[in-house]
Amino acid sequence: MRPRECPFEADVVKALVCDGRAGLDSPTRREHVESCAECRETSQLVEALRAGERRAWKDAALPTASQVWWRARVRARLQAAHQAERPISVVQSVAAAVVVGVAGSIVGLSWLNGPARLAKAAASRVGGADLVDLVSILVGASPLVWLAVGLGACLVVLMPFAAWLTLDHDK
Amino acid sequence: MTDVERLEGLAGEADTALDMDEEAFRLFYQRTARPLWAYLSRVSRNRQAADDLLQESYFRLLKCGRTFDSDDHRRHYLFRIATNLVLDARRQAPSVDLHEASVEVDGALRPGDAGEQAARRTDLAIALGRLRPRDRALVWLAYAQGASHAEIASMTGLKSSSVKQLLFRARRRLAMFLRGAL
Repeated sequence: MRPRECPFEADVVKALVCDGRAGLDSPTRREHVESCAECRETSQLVEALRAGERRAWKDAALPTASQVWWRARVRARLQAAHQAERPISVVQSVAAAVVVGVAGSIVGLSWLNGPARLAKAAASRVGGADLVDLVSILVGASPLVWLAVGLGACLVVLMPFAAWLTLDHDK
Repeated sequence: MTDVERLEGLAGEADTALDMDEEAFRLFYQRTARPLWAYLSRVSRNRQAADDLLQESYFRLLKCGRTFDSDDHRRHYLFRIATNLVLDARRQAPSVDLHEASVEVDGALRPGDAGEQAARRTDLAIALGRLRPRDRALVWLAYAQGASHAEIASMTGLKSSSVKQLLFRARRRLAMFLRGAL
Protein backbone atom coordinates (compact mmCIF):
# COMPACT_ATOMS: atom_id res chain seq x y z
CA MET A 1 0.00 0.00 0.00
CA ARG A 2 1.34 3.42 -0.91
CA PRO A 3 1.63 5.90 1.94
CA ARG A 4 -0.97 8.66 1.89
CA GLU A 5 0.12 11.63 3.89
CA CYS A 6 -1.61 14.88 4.53
CA PRO A 7 0.67 17.74 3.42
CA PHE A 8 0.01 19.51 6.74
CA GLU A 9 0.92 16.52 8.90
CA ALA A 10 4.57 17.48 9.33
CA ASP A 11 3.53 20.97 10.37
CA VAL A 12 1.01 19.61 12.89
CA VAL A 13 3.57 17.22 14.39
CA LYS A 14 6.22 19.94 14.63
CA ALA A 15 3.81 22.34 16.31
CA LEU A 16 2.66 19.72 18.84
CA VAL A 17 6.18 18.54 19.64
CA CYS A 18 7.50 22.08 20.11
CA ASP A 19 4.55 23.72 21.86
CA GLY A 20 2.31 20.88 23.07
CA ARG A 21 -1.42 21.61 22.89
CA ALA A 22 -0.63 25.30 22.44
CA GLY A 23 0.71 24.30 19.06
CA LEU A 24 -2.88 23.93 17.90
CA ASP A 25 -3.85 27.45 19.01
CA SER A 26 -3.46 28.79 15.50
CA PRO A 27 -7.05 28.88 14.08
CA THR A 28 -6.09 27.56 10.64
CA ARG A 29 -4.16 24.65 12.11
CA ARG A 30 -6.92 23.80 14.59
CA GLU A 31 -9.57 23.90 11.87
CA HIS A 32 -7.45 21.65 9.69
CA VAL A 33 -6.91 19.11 12.47
CA GLU A 34 -10.64 19.06 13.21
CA SER A 35 -11.51 18.44 9.57
CA CYS A 36 -8.67 16.04 8.60
CA ALA A 37 -9.03 12.51 10.03
CA GLU A 38 -5.37 11.74 9.31
CA CYS A 39 -4.08 14.76 11.24
CA ARG A 40 -6.56 14.22 14.06
CA GLU A 41 -5.25 10.70 14.56
CA THR A 42 -1.68 11.95 14.29
CA SER A 43 -2.24 14.70 16.84
CA GLN A 44 -3.73 12.19 19.33
CA LEU A 45 -0.79 9.88 18.79
CA VAL A 46 1.73 12.70 19.23
CA GLU A 47 0.08 13.88 22.44
CA ALA A 48 0.04 10.36 23.87
CA LEU A 49 3.66 9.69 22.94
CA ARG A 50 4.80 13.08 24.20
CA ALA A 51 3.11 12.34 27.52
CA GLY A 52 4.93 9.00 27.53
CA GLU A 53 8.20 10.76 26.86
CA ARG A 54 7.63 13.22 29.69
CA ARG A 55 6.91 10.32 32.04
CA ALA A 56 10.02 8.52 30.84
CA TRP A 57 12.09 11.66 31.48
CA LYS A 58 10.64 11.93 34.97
CA ASP A 59 11.38 8.26 35.73
CA ALA A 60 14.89 8.33 34.30
CA ALA A 61 17.72 8.18 36.83
CA LEU A 62 20.46 9.28 34.49
CA PRO A 63 24.12 9.29 35.41
CA THR A 64 25.72 12.73 35.36
CA ALA A 65 27.78 13.86 32.38
CA SER A 66 30.91 13.62 34.53
CA GLN A 67 30.19 9.99 35.41
CA VAL A 68 29.65 9.02 31.78
CA TRP A 69 32.75 10.95 30.76
CA TRP A 70 34.90 9.36 33.47
CA ARG A 71 33.75 5.83 32.62
CA ALA A 72 34.40 6.46 28.94
CA ARG A 73 37.92 7.71 29.69
CA VAL A 74 38.72 4.72 31.88
CA ARG A 75 37.36 2.31 29.32
CA ALA A 76 39.25 4.00 26.49
CA ARG A 77 42.45 3.78 28.49
CA LEU A 78 41.88 0.13 29.39
CA GLN A 79 41.20 -0.66 25.74
CA ALA A 80 44.40 1.08 24.71
CA ALA A 81 46.37 -0.74 27.40
CA HIS A 82 44.82 -4.05 26.40
CA GLN A 83 45.74 -3.48 22.75
CA ALA A 84 49.29 -2.63 23.75
CA GLU A 85 49.51 -5.79 25.86
CA ARG A 86 48.17 -8.07 23.15
CA PRO A 87 51.56 -8.91 21.55
CA ILE A 88 52.96 -9.57 25.04
CA SER A 89 50.13 -12.02 25.75
CA VAL A 90 50.84 -13.89 22.54
CA VAL A 91 54.53 -14.16 23.39
CA GLN A 92 53.63 -15.28 26.94
CA SER A 93 51.29 -18.00 25.68
CA VAL A 94 53.92 -19.27 23.22
CA ALA A 95 56.53 -19.24 25.99
CA ALA A 96 54.17 -21.11 28.32
CA ALA A 97 53.51 -23.72 25.64
CA VAL A 98 57.26 -24.13 25.06
CA VAL A 99 57.92 -24.52 28.80
CA VAL A 100 55.18 -27.13 29.14
CA GLY A 101 56.47 -28.95 26.06
CA VAL A 102 60.04 -29.01 27.32
CA ALA A 103 58.91 -30.17 30.77
CA GLY A 104 56.88 -32.93 29.19
CA SER A 105 59.82 -34.01 27.07
CA ILE A 106 62.15 -34.12 30.09
CA VAL A 107 59.66 -36.18 32.08
CA GLY A 108 59.14 -38.49 29.13
CA LEU A 109 62.85 -38.98 28.52
CA SER A 110 63.59 -39.59 32.17
CA TRP A 111 61.09 -42.46 32.26
CA LEU A 112 61.87 -43.79 28.83
CA ASN A 113 63.77 -46.72 30.26
CA GLY A 114 60.76 -47.82 32.32
CA PRO A 115 58.34 -48.44 29.41
CA ALA A 116 61.20 -49.85 27.32
CA ARG A 117 61.92 -52.41 30.05
CA LEU A 118 58.22 -53.13 30.31
CA ALA A 119 57.93 -53.74 26.56
CA LYS A 120 60.98 -55.96 26.59
CA ALA A 121 59.68 -58.02 29.51
CA ALA A 122 56.28 -58.27 27.88
CA ALA A 123 57.80 -59.47 24.61
CA SER A 124 59.90 -62.10 26.34
CA ARG A 125 57.24 -63.30 28.76
CA VAL A 126 54.07 -63.11 26.63
CA GLY A 127 55.40 -65.05 23.70
CA GLY A 128 51.93 -66.11 22.53
CA ALA A 129 50.41 -66.09 26.04
CA ASP A 130 46.97 -64.72 26.59
CA LEU A 131 45.78 -61.21 27.56
CA VAL A 132 45.59 -62.04 31.27
CA ASP A 133 49.37 -62.44 31.33
CA LEU A 134 49.84 -59.02 29.68
CA VAL A 135 47.54 -57.33 32.20
CA SER A 136 49.39 -58.97 35.06
CA ILE A 137 52.69 -57.62 33.63
CA LEU A 138 51.22 -54.10 33.41
CA VAL A 139 49.84 -54.33 36.96
CA GLY A 140 53.21 -55.45 38.18
CA ALA A 141 55.02 -52.54 36.50
CA SER A 142 56.76 -49.87 38.53
CA PRO A 143 54.46 -47.12 39.96
CA LEU A 144 56.81 -44.58 38.39
CA VAL A 145 55.89 -45.89 34.96
CA TRP A 146 52.22 -45.39 35.76
CA LEU A 147 53.01 -41.89 37.02
CA ALA A 148 54.75 -41.05 33.75
CA VAL A 149 51.89 -42.43 31.69
CA GLY A 150 49.35 -40.47 33.79
CA LEU A 151 51.34 -37.25 33.52
CA GLY A 152 51.58 -37.64 29.76
CA ALA A 153 47.84 -38.22 29.49
CA CYS A 154 47.16 -35.15 31.63
CA LEU A 155 49.38 -33.01 29.42
CA VAL A 156 47.63 -34.22 26.30
CA VAL A 157 44.24 -33.37 27.80
CA LEU A 158 45.22 -30.12 29.53
CA MET A 159 47.46 -28.51 26.92
CA PRO A 160 44.69 -27.47 24.51
CA PHE A 161 42.61 -26.25 27.45
CA ALA A 162 45.51 -24.19 28.82
CA ALA A 163 46.19 -22.70 25.39
CA TRP A 164 42.50 -21.84 24.98
CA LEU A 165 42.42 -20.18 28.42
CA THR A 166 45.50 -18.11 27.64
CA LEU A 167 44.35 -17.00 24.21
CA ASP A 168 40.77 -16.37 25.35
CA HIS A 169 41.95 -13.40 27.44
CA ASP A 170 42.91 -11.61 24.25
CA LYS A 171 39.34 -11.46 22.99
CA MET B 1 47.41 1.98 45.39
CA THR B 2 43.66 1.19 45.41
CA ASP B 3 41.73 0.10 42.33
CA VAL B 4 39.99 3.49 42.16
CA GLU B 5 43.31 5.35 42.28
CA ARG B 6 44.70 3.08 39.60
CA LEU B 7 41.62 3.67 37.39
CA GLU B 8 41.82 7.42 37.95
CA GLY B 9 45.43 7.27 36.88
CA LEU B 10 44.43 5.37 33.77
CA ALA B 11 41.60 7.83 33.04
CA GLY B 12 43.94 10.77 33.35
CA GLU B 13 46.17 9.40 30.61
CA ALA B 14 43.34 8.80 28.15
CA ASP B 15 42.40 12.37 27.15
CA THR B 16 43.82 12.00 23.69
CA ALA B 17 41.79 8.82 23.09
CA LEU B 18 38.40 10.61 23.10
CA ASP B 19 36.97 12.84 20.40
CA MET B 20 35.57 15.64 22.60
CA ASP B 21 36.80 17.67 25.54
CA GLU B 22 34.92 17.34 28.80
CA GLU B 23 33.15 20.70 28.70
CA ALA B 24 31.86 20.19 25.17
CA PHE B 25 30.74 16.70 26.12
CA ARG B 26 28.91 17.97 29.20
CA LEU B 27 26.88 20.47 27.14
CA PHE B 28 26.14 17.88 24.48
CA TYR B 29 25.14 15.31 27.11
CA GLN B 30 22.76 17.73 28.83
CA ARG B 31 21.03 18.33 25.52
CA THR B 32 20.78 14.71 24.40
CA ALA B 33 20.80 12.33 27.39
CA ARG B 34 17.13 12.49 28.36
CA PRO B 35 15.66 12.12 24.86
CA LEU B 36 18.17 9.37 24.17
CA TRP B 37 17.32 7.49 27.36
CA ALA B 38 13.58 7.83 26.68
CA TYR B 39 14.14 6.50 23.17
CA LEU B 40 16.25 3.57 24.36
CA SER B 41 13.87 2.64 27.15
CA ARG B 42 10.86 2.73 24.80
CA VAL B 43 12.47 0.75 22.00
CA SER B 44 14.17 -1.80 24.28
CA ARG B 45 11.25 -1.83 26.79
CA ASN B 46 13.82 -2.41 29.46
CA ARG B 47 15.08 0.38 31.71
CA GLN B 48 18.14 -1.48 32.89
CA ALA B 49 19.13 -2.14 29.29
CA ALA B 50 18.48 1.52 28.47
CA ASP B 51 20.95 2.59 31.19
CA ASP B 52 23.64 0.30 29.79
CA LEU B 53 22.96 1.24 26.17
CA LEU B 54 23.10 4.94 27.03
CA GLN B 55 26.62 4.59 28.41
CA GLU B 56 27.66 2.41 25.50
CA SER B 57 26.25 4.87 22.93
CA TYR B 58 28.18 7.80 24.37
CA PHE B 59 31.33 5.73 24.64
CA ARG B 60 31.14 4.71 20.98
CA LEU B 61 30.43 8.29 19.95
CA LEU B 62 33.47 9.49 21.87
CA LYS B 63 35.62 6.82 20.23
CA CYS B 64 34.23 6.97 16.69
CA GLY B 65 36.97 9.26 15.35
CA ARG B 66 34.60 11.15 13.04
CA THR B 67 34.28 14.87 12.50
CA PHE B 68 30.82 16.40 12.61
CA ASP B 69 29.54 19.45 10.73
CA SER B 70 27.28 20.48 13.60
CA ASP B 71 25.85 19.44 16.94
CA ASP B 72 22.75 18.17 15.14
CA HIS B 73 24.92 15.97 12.95
CA ARG B 74 26.62 14.63 16.06
CA ARG B 75 23.23 14.05 17.73
CA HIS B 76 21.94 12.15 14.70
CA TYR B 77 25.03 9.99 14.74
CA LEU B 78 24.56 9.30 18.46
CA PHE B 79 21.00 8.16 17.79
CA ARG B 80 22.22 6.02 14.95
CA ILE B 81 24.68 4.26 17.25
CA ALA B 82 21.91 3.86 19.84
CA THR B 83 19.50 2.48 17.23
CA ASN B 84 22.00 -0.14 16.09
CA LEU B 85 22.79 -1.09 19.67
CA VAL B 86 19.20 -1.39 20.80
CA LEU B 87 18.11 -3.37 17.73
CA ASP B 88 21.08 -5.72 18.16
CA ALA B 89 20.28 -6.12 21.84
CA ARG B 90 16.64 -6.88 21.05
CA ARG B 91 17.67 -9.48 18.49
CA GLN B 92 19.98 -11.17 20.98
CA ALA B 93 17.72 -11.05 24.03
CA PRO B 94 14.14 -9.93 23.50
CA SER B 95 12.84 -8.77 26.87
CA VAL B 96 9.92 -7.01 28.48
CA ASP B 97 10.24 -4.55 31.30
CA LEU B 98 7.94 -6.05 33.88
CA HIS B 99 8.39 -3.06 36.15
CA GLU B 100 6.98 -0.74 33.48
CA ALA B 101 4.05 -3.06 32.78
CA SER B 102 3.16 -3.28 36.48
CA VAL B 103 3.27 0.50 36.86
CA GLU B 104 0.90 0.91 33.94
CA VAL B 105 -1.49 -1.72 35.24
CA ASP B 106 -1.45 -0.26 38.76
CA GLY B 107 -2.32 3.10 37.29
CA ALA B 108 -5.16 1.64 35.29
CA LEU B 109 -6.92 0.52 38.45
CA ARG B 110 -7.34 4.03 39.78
CA PRO B 111 -10.87 5.42 39.47
CA GLY B 112 -11.96 8.57 37.64
CA ASP B 113 -10.04 10.62 35.09
CA ALA B 114 -6.65 9.51 36.36
CA GLY B 115 -7.72 5.89 35.93
CA GLU B 116 -8.99 6.59 32.43
CA GLN B 117 -5.75 8.30 31.49
CA ALA B 118 -3.76 5.45 32.96
CA ALA B 119 -5.87 2.94 31.03
CA ARG B 120 -5.16 4.86 27.83
CA ARG B 121 -1.46 4.82 28.71
CA THR B 122 -1.68 1.07 29.25
CA ASP B 123 -3.34 0.61 25.86
CA LEU B 124 -0.65 2.70 24.19
CA ALA B 125 2.13 0.84 26.01
CA ILE B 126 0.66 -2.51 24.98
CA ALA B 127 0.11 -1.39 21.39
CA LEU B 128 3.65 0.00 21.17
CA GLY B 129 4.95 -3.21 22.68
CA ARG B 130 3.32 -5.21 19.91
CA LEU B 131 5.16 -3.26 17.23
CA ARG B 132 8.49 -4.55 15.98
CA PRO B 133 11.45 -2.77 17.61
CA ARG B 134 12.36 -0.97 14.39
CA ASP B 135 8.79 0.25 13.97
CA ARG B 136 8.74 1.41 17.59
CA ALA B 137 11.94 3.33 16.93
CA LEU B 138 10.46 5.03 13.87
CA VAL B 139 7.17 5.91 15.57
CA TRP B 140 8.99 7.26 18.62
CA LEU B 141 11.41 9.38 16.63
CA ALA B 142 8.68 10.76 14.39
CA TYR B 143 5.89 11.43 16.85
CA ALA B 144 7.51 11.74 20.29
CA GLN B 145 10.62 13.60 19.21
CA GLY B 146 9.19 15.28 16.12
CA ALA B 147 12.02 14.23 13.82
CA SER B 148 11.51 14.71 10.07
CA HIS B 149 11.85 11.82 7.63
CA ALA B 150 15.33 13.06 6.65
CA GLU B 151 16.38 13.26 10.30
CA ILE B 152 15.00 9.78 11.00
CA ALA B 153 16.89 8.48 7.98
CA SER B 154 20.06 10.01 9.35
CA MET B 155 19.38 8.59 12.83
CA THR B 156 18.57 5.06 11.71
CA GLY B 157 20.65 4.59 8.59
CA LEU B 158 17.55 3.94 6.46
CA LYS B 159 16.79 5.74 3.20
CA SER B 160 14.45 8.69 3.49
CA SER B 161 11.98 7.12 1.05
CA SER B 162 12.01 3.89 3.06
CA VAL B 163 11.36 5.83 6.27
CA LYS B 164 8.20 7.29 4.79
CA GLN B 165 6.90 3.88 3.76
CA LEU B 166 7.91 2.08 6.97
CA LEU B 167 6.57 4.83 9.19
CA PHE B 168 3.26 4.79 7.37
CA ARG B 169 2.93 1.05 7.90
CA ALA B 170 4.07 1.25 11.51
CA ARG B 171 1.48 3.89 12.24
CA ARG B 172 -1.26 1.87 10.60
CA ARG B 173 -0.29 -1.14 12.68
CA LEU B 174 -0.20 0.95 15.84
CA ALA B 175 -3.65 2.37 15.08
CA MET B 176 -4.94 -1.15 14.43
CA PHE B 177 -3.52 -2.43 17.73
CA LEU B 178 -5.00 0.54 19.57
CA ARG B 179 -8.42 -0.06 18.03
CA GLY B 180 -8.12 -3.71 19.04
CA ALA B 181 -7.24 -2.71 22.59
CA LEU B 182 -10.23 -0.35 22.97
